Amino acid sequence: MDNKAQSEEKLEQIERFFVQYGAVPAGLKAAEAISGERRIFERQGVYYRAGTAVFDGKQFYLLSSIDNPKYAEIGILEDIDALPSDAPASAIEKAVRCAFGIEPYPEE
Amino acid sequence: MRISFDLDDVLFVSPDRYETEPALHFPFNRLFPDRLRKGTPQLIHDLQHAGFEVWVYTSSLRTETYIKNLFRRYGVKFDRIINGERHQKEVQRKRPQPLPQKMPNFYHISLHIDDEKAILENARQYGFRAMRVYEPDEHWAEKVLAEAKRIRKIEENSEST
Repeated sequence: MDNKAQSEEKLEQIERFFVQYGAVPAGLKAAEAISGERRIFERQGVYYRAGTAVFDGKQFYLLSSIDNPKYAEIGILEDIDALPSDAPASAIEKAVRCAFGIEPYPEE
Repeated sequence: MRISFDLDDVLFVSPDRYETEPALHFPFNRLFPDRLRKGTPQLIHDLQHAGFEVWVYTSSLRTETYIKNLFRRYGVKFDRIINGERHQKEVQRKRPQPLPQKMPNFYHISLHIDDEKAILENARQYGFRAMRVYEPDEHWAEKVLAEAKRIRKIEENSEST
């Protein structure tokens, strides 16, 4: 499991990929305050956020998304992808591209 | 022609009672815990390959994001998703009289697949076509495909007369 500094770096890396692929900070400060989660980004009317979760003792980095601004405004996003803590930058970038619909998921 | 599916007990089923598609691998089974009735992805592909527009029309308040991303993991992309919130906003609106939870004719859906008995009664009353799928049935997908093709033939024949 990553320590706090490592987690922060990885989350910032995800957010850098958000920006690289055209997302901008949505400015939903109230939503961020309500949820206590990280900044929400927006791209083509869809909202995204990076986060973490632990499942069965294993840490994952989450990509969350919602296309309904009413939910985004109160910080409610759906978890749509999960990356293991040792995921390389290339895997993180691919996950962001899939989440943004730039490339298909392998199943598609 | 448009065909729509309800979710609960139609495409989303309990593995205790129905044969299901394999669960998504960990941790996606935690992000998307709903299980698909066996045959669902193939049926959707077959319908779309046969030229049908395939929608989800559910009274569930699951978000469109959740529904879309769950099905993406099974290689399925619906043409449109109507959830309970969208139905309320677009169909019920501020009407004083409550409408049924689903009104397929509002969306020009030619055939709606659902598990509820009430949907057949509503179909008769409000003038839309519905098919009930509510029991484990290994031939359910073939029956849905056959019914969709039958309805399409009826519609094509009535357009040409």
